[in-house]
Amino acid sequence: MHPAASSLYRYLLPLILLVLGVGWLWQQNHAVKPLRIGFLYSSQGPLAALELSLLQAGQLAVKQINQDGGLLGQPLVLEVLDCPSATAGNCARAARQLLEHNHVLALFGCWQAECRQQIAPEIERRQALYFDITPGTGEPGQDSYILLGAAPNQWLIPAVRWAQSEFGSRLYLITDDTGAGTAILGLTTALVQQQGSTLLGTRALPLDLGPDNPALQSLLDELQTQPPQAIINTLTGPANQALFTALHASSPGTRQIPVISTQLDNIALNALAARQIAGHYLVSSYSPTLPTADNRRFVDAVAQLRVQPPDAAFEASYLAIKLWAQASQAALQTDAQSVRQFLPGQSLNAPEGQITLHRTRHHFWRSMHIARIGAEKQLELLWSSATPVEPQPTWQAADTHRAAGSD
Amino acid sequence: MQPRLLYRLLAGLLLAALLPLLLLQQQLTHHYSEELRSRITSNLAQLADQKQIRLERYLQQQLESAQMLATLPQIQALLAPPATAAQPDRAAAQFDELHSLLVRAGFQDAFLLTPDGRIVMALRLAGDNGLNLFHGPYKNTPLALTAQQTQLMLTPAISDLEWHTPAQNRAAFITLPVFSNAQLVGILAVDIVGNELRQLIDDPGQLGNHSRTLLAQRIIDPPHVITAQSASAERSNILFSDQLSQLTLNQSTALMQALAGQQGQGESWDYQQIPVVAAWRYLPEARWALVVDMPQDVAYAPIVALQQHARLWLVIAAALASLIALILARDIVRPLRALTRAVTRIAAGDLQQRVALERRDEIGQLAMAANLMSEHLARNHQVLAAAQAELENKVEQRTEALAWEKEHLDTIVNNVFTGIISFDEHGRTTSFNRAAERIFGLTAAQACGQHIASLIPAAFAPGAPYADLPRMQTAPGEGEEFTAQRANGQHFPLRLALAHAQHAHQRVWIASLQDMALIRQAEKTLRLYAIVFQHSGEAMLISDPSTRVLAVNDAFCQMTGYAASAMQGANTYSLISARNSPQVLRELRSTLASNGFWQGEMWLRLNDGRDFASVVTLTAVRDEQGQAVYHLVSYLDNSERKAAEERIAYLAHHDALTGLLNRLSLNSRLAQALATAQREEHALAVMFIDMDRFKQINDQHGHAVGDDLLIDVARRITGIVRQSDIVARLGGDEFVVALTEVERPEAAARVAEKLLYALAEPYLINDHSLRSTPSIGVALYPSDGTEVNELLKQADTAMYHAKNQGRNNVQFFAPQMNMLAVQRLRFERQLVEALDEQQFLLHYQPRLAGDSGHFVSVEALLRWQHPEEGLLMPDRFIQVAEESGLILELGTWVIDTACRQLRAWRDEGLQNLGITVNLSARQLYSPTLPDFIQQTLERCQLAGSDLELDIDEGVLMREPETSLERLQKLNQLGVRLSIDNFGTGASSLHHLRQMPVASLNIDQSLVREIGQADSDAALCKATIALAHHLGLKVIAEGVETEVQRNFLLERRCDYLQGYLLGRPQSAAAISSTLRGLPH
Repeated sequence: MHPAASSLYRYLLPLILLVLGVGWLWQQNHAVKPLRIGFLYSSQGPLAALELSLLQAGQLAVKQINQDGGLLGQPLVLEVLDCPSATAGNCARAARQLLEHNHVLALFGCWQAECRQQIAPEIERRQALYFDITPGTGEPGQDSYILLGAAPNQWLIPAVRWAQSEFGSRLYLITDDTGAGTAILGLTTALVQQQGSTLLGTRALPLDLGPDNPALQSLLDELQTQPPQAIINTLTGPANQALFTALHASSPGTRQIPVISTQLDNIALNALAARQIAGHYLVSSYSPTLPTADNRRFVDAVAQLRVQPPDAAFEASYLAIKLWAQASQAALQTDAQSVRQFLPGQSLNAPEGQITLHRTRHHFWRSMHIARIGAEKQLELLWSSATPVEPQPTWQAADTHRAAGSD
Repeated sequence: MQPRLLYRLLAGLLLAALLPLLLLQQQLTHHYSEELRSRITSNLAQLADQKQIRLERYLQQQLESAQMLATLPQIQALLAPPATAAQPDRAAAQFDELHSLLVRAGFQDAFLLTPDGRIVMALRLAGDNGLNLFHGPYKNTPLALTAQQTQLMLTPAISDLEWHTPAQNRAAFITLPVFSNAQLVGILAVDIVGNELRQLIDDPGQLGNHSRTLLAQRIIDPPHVITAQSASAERSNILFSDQLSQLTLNQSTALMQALAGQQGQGESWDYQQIPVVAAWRYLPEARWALVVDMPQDVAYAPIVALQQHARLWLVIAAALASLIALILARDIVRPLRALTRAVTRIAAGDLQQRVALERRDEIGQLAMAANLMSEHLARNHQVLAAAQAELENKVEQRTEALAWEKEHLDTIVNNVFTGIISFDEHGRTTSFNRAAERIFGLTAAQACGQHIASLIPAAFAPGAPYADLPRMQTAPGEGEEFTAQRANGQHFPLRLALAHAQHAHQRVWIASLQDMALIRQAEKTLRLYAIVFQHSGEAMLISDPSTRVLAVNDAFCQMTGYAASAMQGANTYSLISARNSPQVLRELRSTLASNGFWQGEMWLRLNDGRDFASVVTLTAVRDEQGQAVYHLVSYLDNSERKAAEERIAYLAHHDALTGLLNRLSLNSRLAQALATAQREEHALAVMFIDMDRFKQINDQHGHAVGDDLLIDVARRITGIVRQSDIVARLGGDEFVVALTEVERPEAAARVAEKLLYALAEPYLINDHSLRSTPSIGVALYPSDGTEVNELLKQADTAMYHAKNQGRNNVQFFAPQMNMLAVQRLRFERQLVEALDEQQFLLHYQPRLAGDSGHFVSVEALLRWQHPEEGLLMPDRFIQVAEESGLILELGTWVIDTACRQLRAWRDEGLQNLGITVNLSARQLYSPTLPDFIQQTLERCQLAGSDLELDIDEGVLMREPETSLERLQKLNQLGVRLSIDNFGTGASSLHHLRQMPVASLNIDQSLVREIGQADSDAALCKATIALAHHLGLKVIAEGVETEVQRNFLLERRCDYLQGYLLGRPQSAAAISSTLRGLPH
């Protein structure tokens, strides 16, 4: 070997090995660590089936993000904790575990009002990110989170106005007996009065409404003695099943009163026979029958999970994670503070169409739909808003108009 | 060699000078470019943010001023109903006031609408007044849709951009609700596209004229994008004048990102695919995309200039550095060159050479040392040269002679085929030739030094024949065979011969070896081939070139019938039948001679004289010289022809287009089916199907489309009927379907109905949706005929009848069948309606205790109050309900109604009353039954024992295991269970004992015979005795005479029921009856 060459190799080879070794060590230290987000759900109680479907929606979103190469080059992991009974007070513990032990970057799920009440102090103390997927009801405290569900003006006003213009001004309101129901009752009462209609009666029914609940019979009696022209139904979960079954089995007069439901989920819809529900109405920001390509892809992806077709709540749960991921992508960071800065004004190509988070309010600009439930339980779109509707958390806007109008 | 040092020095010096310079320059330019890039991007982002805020503020201001206008009394007055409206001139004045207010507010146009869409006021065109926006020709304009939304949502909205003729511009309207006392009285729409908006877009901000602002909106139908651009070259008076087809736009352009609601900034492309630096924003209020951009060539111009400067300076620096490096390097290299030249000459032998260098540095000292060295060398060299020359000469001669001798011997030893090993007296191997290497698979180096016994243990190991050989004095007999082992472990036969040679005091043994393995292998292979030939499935023959047979195999003998011994020596030509044309033989001979191979079809003459078609393959086997020594002939059975024949047979029996049976095979299949039907005594239906207006389709769309339609018709028919049914196409558009097993004529009607619907569905062929309907005629065996032709003719007749009835229907040949089929279908529909219309009712029949004569319970009996046919008994409709599946819902209704009735009676004071309900098979096997009964009982506040369920014996025995499980669940609820119609089904006593039943019902037919025939009375007696023996109560149904009652009471029958004791009556009637009876 040439002496010059030998001295070259004597120094160059160790140098190359050194560089490779240092590079390998660096790689080890910067190996891809997964990003964790938390999902709270409740496997017991009357809404268990619904909660499970929301969890599946979240898992679908995570799966899709990971299939597209993850978030900021890192895989996403959904840490799921079950607080089996939302009423027993263990959701706060679960939230604490997710935030402190699992170090999740954001919290999702927690669909029931009791659950949200429990975790509120935990979220507030840690300034954590939480995405609420329930429909806006104007409940106190709700506006401290990003709300994936429709704002009260987006779903309640069209329900009342549609009932009024299509069927008449004598209305009846059915809510659930939680805090959300109380808030809805307040909003509806104000709205109905403003619009010159009459609320013939209201009834708050429990979430676990069974067919034998005496409240059902007295509801039917009330409807029979003083029949309204339309019923606004804001019940959610399996209570809808008992309600529609009872309405269908009641006297012909009562059976024919049109019911405009605002939160009828597809689990309840599936459980009902077509003739029990056909001909009633649904106000929703989402329908699986929307004819966009995005929606068709979404419905196909859901069909592969072998669950019932997606509904508004399912879509909201799916979108919550997509929204967080998109804001994180924009921020190039995943900590709560950075993500929060990038949330306002984020637009999502949602299955329901393009929706944009309001820059100052915690709801989306979104299009709304009114559908009739057909003979085979399919949703027939009767009306869709021409443009996305601006979200208004309460009736403040209507109030100012009234104040201005009475001047 | 010389130039290399100069170049290396030059390159090193240049590198040392230029590398830092280059790195520094790169770093500086990079840093500067990044700085500039980020500054431009952030400036653009800032401008975009400013514009976005201004645009939002603009929209907010427009909304606020419109909201302010909406509260004006002028607007409220215009919207007031005509009755309370002010006087016409006052109204006109208000109209004018409003007009000027709107113009002053800067709106291009405005509309005032009533909540139902009537235009009360139009700013630009007074003629629009009174027009209805929601229902007229404008109902699908963006303005109308947005106004409608505002009307429903009570929320302001901004409409999509549209061409607005009165304003001669594109317009976007804010629609907002007008409230009076909080109630919606109207909608105000104002156009917000105006000069102020144009200024907003045109304002270049601090970036000057290089930046451009783009405002755009995506329109869904038809898909395109409307844009407004600042500082565009051809300025038009129309804002939002540009339309882009959305489809041509790249999704990653800044514009498309903004339209998708995204915001951001950075390098991108504009819609003309020019690279730009851009910032993009989205305004959800109006769904407008805002893009501020600058072409990259303008934005990055300073970077390019800087890079050019830097490059120029680098070139100058490089030129200077090269010059300096050249001078330095030459100063070092020149004296070195002189020194090198001199030393090279010394090395080449010129020992007189001296170096002439006058230098004191390291090179000068080196030159002096070289001079000294060359003097010493010159002296030593002369002495050595002479001695060496003499020695070398001698050695060379001797070596040459020895080498030649050795080579000669080695060549011999190494090139014989026999392995040769030599070993000494101690058995140590001393040489090993190439053949031995090959045999043992060892190299000579490996083998030498090894003991001979380790190489061939079979011969030399202790105890073996030649174990003592090294010490023997004479060589043993030669040519013995031993088994040895190769290096790879393989055993092989070895032939060994030994000889010895004496050399000085040493003796050397020479073993010569022959590997027998190859010979053995060849023998084995030969045997194998003989067996393969003999037992091959293919008939084979071997002949010599003169066509004399040498051998034939077993398959040959089997195929031809010749014995192998008879063939030996025969001529192969004797096998060839005279039927072969001479041409084939000529061709065979010539091809075989030229190619050595021939294959073809040939007739063979068999031993029994028959001719046999065979595919013959002839192969010539040649020796090394290419001479044919054998011919190998093989014969193949020609079976392909058979397959072809089968295919022809299939074509003869099937319709080529649809693959259905054709007329020919229809007749034979139908005849078979008729024979089966006759033998097994079941009915059969023949349907004649003709597609209506098929000829028109054929004429209009061509035969290809018609054919596709027929294929689709065939597919639909076969999709509906069973595999065992016959489907045939008679030609044209005529199809025949025969249902080979029909339980009842109604079943045929059902299938016909299904076919009618399926075939009337539109046909999608080549993107045409074609419509053709079937006319179906049905004939039934045996009622309409018993012969194939008769049935076909009558189905045909019925089909023509269907055509005459206006096509697209089904007609039976027998007119009463039409009635029956229609009736049954109608009945099914009516049953469904009856449930909804609550046409069912329950009648109740009392049941008395045998011992006390007291009334204990009632049996609930189902009745149908048919709107046309009056009150119907269950036997009229239960079967239809079972078949249509309605029985479950009906049964549920019965249990529910009966329980509620019992509750009512209890409330009326009839306390000790029980109720009996009949349970159908479907209900019993429904898994939800126990839960449903439990819920019903709880709802009606009844105990389980208040309810008795009667279950038909036959039903229980259909699936005894499931029945038992269901009954046990029901029993746990306390419900009493009774077996109905006992004595009619074949109960297994074993199952009966297991079932938790409380009682047996004696069938009416058994009771009716009491007093008439002794045998049945005996059966009745036996049943009662059996039940009591099993600890079960007995219920007798259908008691109609005193004789029957007395007979039953004598046998201690527990409960009685029948016309004698009380007829079934309505709930109201029975309750008054019950009050009269003792209980």
